[in-house]
Amino acid sequence: MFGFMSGWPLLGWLLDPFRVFQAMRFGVWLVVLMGLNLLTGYNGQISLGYAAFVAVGAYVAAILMTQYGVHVIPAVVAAGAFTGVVGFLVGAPALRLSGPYLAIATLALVIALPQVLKHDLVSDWTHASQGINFYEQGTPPVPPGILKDRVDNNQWLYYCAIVPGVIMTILAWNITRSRIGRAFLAVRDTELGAGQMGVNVPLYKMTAFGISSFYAGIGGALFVFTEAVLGPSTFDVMMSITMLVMVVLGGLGSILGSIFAAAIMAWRSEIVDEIVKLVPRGQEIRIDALRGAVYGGLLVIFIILGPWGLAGSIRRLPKIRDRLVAGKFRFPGVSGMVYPAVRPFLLRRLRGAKSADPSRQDGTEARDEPH
Amino acid sequence: MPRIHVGRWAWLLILALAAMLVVSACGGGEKEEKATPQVTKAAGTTPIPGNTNGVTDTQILLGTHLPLSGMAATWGVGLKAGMDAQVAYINDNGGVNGRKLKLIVEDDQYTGPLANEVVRKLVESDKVFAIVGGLGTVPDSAVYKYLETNGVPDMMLLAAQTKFLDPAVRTRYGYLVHYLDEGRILGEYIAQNFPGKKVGFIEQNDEFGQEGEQGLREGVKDGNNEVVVETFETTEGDLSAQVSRLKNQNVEVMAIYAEPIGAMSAIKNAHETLNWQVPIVLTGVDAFEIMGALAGPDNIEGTISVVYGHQAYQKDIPGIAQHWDIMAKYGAGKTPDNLTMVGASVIEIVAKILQDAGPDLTRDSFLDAAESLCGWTPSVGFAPINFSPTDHKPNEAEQYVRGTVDRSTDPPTFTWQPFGDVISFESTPKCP
Repeated sequence: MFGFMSGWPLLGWLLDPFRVFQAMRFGVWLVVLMGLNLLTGYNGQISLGYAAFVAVGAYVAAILMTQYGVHVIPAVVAAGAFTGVVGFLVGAPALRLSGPYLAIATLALVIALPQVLKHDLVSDWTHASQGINFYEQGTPPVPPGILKDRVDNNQWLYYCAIVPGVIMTILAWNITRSRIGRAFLAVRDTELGAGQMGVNVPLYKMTAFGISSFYAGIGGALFVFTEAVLGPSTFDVMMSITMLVMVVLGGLGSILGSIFAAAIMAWRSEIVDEIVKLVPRGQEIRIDALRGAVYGGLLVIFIILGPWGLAGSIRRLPKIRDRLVAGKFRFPGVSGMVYPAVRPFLLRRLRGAKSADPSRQDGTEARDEPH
Repeated sequence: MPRIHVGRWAWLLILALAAMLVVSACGGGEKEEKATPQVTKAAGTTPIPGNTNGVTDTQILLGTHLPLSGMAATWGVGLKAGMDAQVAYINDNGGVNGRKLKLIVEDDQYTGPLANEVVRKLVESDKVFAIVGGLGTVPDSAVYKYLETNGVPDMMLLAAQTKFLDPAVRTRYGYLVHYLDEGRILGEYIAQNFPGKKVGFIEQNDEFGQEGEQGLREGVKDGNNEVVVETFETTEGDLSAQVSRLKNQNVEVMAIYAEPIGAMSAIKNAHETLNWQVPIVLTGVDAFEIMGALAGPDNIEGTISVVYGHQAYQKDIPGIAQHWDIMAKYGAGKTPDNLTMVGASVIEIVAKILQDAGPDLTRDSFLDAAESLCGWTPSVGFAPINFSPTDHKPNEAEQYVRGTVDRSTDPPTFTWQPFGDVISFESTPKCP
């Protein structure tokens, strides 16, 4: 009856069980990063503490599933709802903060959370530093009942992650194209103007926090269900920053950008491996130990060349070429010194394809719209 | 951007919901599912799936997960150098029963999620025969049950929480001394040398620190020592507040259960910043040469710790001399230290078990050989390994060491000098 599942287009090329596992991770990150993009990309609020909300969702779901025997679906929904409410309330102080101040305030959340989770008051539920392990609790995530013989463990988890991933993506698509989404964008682009136009700025800022936390909760719940292991240090500051970097790389304020971000997140080890292979290596260089630097370097390159991320860059490929040809890019620092040297070469390559568009001489850049 | 018809999305949504309903309808059956029993205890009653994964006529494929980047990279890089050198040495000498070893090292950055990913890659994609020497409580906690349920041998785990090896599981073997045992031995030192004195305990707020505390409290029982505890988070690099609180409580002996950075801060703050010459007892986790450079030789001199094997500077011991030779030939320029020794030792023990398992190598024959390994001393160990079906801990003997500075050299050399007898707490004292 379920034999068709392994023949599904998404699984046809994912025959290697490890690839299925990675695709499952992609589904989880899709939900998580979609939420962060709604907050940062669409509403313009920079949060370095997003991982704390993911952790809250993960803990709520894990406790419900392992200690109260709740089925996975209600547990995931409850985790999302609970985290959403928490996020909405945490959004209140955010009303007075913006930019770097908000980033620092939210950073405090993710730094404080591990200690809160280890506190005696909650350690009966969270098992303090030992964390929650589904196997140890006797509830490993295995395909239930009649599915058992038809899908293997990885495939079952893949469906558990990808189905909510698709649903939450459609939901995000609808939110961003609704009244709420337009209000988010208005608040991001000009808070004052949005207020003048009758947008309730405080309410929408808190709503953005609430909705993104709802996503974080669902994503965290899916994470712990598929991972089966959760500890206070699973979602740390590094994780929070990595998520933000991925969303910027993928493309802020874009659904497609979130999908790219999730893909980069899920395959980031292999992507870095491939990049590292390009560098000649010796025993002394050990470039593979510089993953952080590789992420940082990519981020700098993207901020300079395509602040709209991967999703935006693909859409703008013709425009970027025109701007390169017309010499409209400003390169700061070292890149500014290197660029004049490589420019003739670049121009020769680009001119061959298409000559510069003379109408684009104003040198300004339109604010990115969502798409 | 063309407008997407609502209808199409609605269809997708309905399909997705239907899929969810189907899934939920057949859900609910997971609760009764316990971790598959056949691999947990009963020795070899059921054949393990993937019994000959990674074994060909010419090669045995092994995998490991180590932090090669990130904050714990120092450990991973040193261990990897030792493992690679030992593998090359074994292969140059004919391999194991005619098969060459091949080791795949994956970087887990000392995080659970990444360890989960790379270990699945090793098991499901590379199809390794066994995982050897996976490092760290956090990464190992994330993967040990996965490996157990899938019957993958999880050898020489470089993490020492009780949950990994008590009770013994057929597919999993340890390497390090348990923090409970180690804490007890350090506690006994305090009870014998500082009876009745007030002990200040610097505790890393995780399983490592907590098990150390538990062991230490057991050890000091005979000395009637009062113990006061100060905890810290691994994210804190500066322990000056904790140390000065202990000083204000008139603590007379300080015991530290912290990873190197925390331990360094505690020792430096006590001996240097506060000029408080309190005797210090330090977890064996930090009994590495590098602690001298981290904390400053003057500060760490006289600190008491424990080791479970010989150390890299003791070149007059044949096993250590051999390690230096191997590293000189196959170590790609890496100077031998206690970390490369642990890496090499892990591979040496696994190779010995592979040898014992004979030419018809399966996971079953391998695990049977492991359980009957007894009375064999690895080249860098000072006590024999005695395994049994209920005892999967190789290193069950320790010796006290004292931080010692040799000022005749420039710069001064710091070493951990052993003193006293080897203390054995072997749970399998006699081989059958």
